[in-house]
Amino acid sequence: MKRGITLAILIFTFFILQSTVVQGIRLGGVVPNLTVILVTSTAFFRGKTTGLLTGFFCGLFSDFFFGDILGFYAVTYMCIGYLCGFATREFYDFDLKLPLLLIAASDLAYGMIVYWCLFMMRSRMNVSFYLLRIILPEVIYTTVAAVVVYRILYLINEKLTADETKRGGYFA
Amino acid sequence: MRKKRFSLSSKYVLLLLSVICVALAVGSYLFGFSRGPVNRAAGYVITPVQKGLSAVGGWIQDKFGFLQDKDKLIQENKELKARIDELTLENTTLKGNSFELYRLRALYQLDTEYAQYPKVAASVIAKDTGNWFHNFIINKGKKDGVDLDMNVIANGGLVGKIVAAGDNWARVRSIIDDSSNVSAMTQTTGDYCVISGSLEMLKNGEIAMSKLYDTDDNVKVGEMIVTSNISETYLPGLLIGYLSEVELDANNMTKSGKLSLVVDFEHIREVFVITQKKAVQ
Repeated sequence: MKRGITLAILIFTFFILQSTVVQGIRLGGVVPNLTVILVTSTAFFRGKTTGLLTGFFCGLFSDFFFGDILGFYAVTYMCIGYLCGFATREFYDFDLKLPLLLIAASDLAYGMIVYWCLFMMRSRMNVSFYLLRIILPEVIYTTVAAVVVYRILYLINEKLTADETKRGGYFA
Repeated sequence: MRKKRFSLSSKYVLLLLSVICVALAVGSYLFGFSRGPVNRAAGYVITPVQKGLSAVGGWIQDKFGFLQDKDKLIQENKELKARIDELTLENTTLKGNSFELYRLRALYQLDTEYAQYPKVAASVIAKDTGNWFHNFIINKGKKDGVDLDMNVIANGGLVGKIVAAGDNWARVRSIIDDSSNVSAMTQTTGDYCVISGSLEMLKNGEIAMSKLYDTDDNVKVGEMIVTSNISETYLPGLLIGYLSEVELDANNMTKSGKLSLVVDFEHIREVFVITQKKAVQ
């Protein structure tokens, strides 16, 4: 319950931040993708189901406010959440390498999907331009941002897990 | 405990939600699925928060700006000063012309000046979350008389049009968005062309101009491009930008080129919505 509420607040906060404050740190026309960080990290901590649900709701926010076709971002983020769920560990310690790699891969996949579905389909064929000027800079910026953001999400997850074990409940 | 509650396997959840998404997509595409209730809820919960945080975003952007080259600013200042001189001169000539304009306008009973359109001021409270499209959310909606297809202007130039509207918010698709197309014409010769946003050209601060039919070679670089009188949604005569490049297409009939923009889209904070729709007969 507590976890559900925390997650809902996180999804809401991340969407708001992404559309407002994050726009202020645009570098070379590119902003980091916090949503991918949230979805990937949640899936990594909690597994496939939680991952895909997080992705679904994150995507839905984008769809309602910025999407032309409802459901596109929801499906995209949901698939990312689901696939990242395969990397969940029963026990893990704080290690940045795997989650950062996962986040970078997810963001790359996200970029490719958006390019393929929303740009290439409208005959924007200059793949190298989109890859080098949009997708890869976003991956790099997102990964750098993830160094900080993932840490915060990790701490929140630790706190929740500790509370749950204290209450004698279940164990992640 | 959790395992027992969630007996549904993740595969089925994925499948179920995918189906919902597809249904939503088809629904919104085919039936223009009214997002009514969600829009309303979103408007009252999210918009106020975005309003406050956008100010924070703007502040960060300003601070970020300071880190950028001082030389660039000095250079820009020099250029701008030169531009002021240029404009003062131009202004004098224009003042002379404006008298004639009023006279002629009275003659033709035209009133196409911006100032005569009813406008609503709005601030930008959120921008597109990704790096692909250029939509933004403003803090005025249906309650303030803002509705679909209304034109949005800022800095004396065209910004875009409203593509979605809630009670107290609306989404603007800017003309630099990759999926935007505006029917335009040249100010002096009245030749029609199409202005389309392009992510590729935007990296150089330009947008694409195409399908200009100009057999007499009248259109020169520096020509003012305004919205055309044959556009379905855009009011005529709104300034879009100045032609920076023009060349003949391979078909030897039409010309295409690039346009430099009037509106500073990166720092856009305040816009005006023209609350008068173009009446299409």
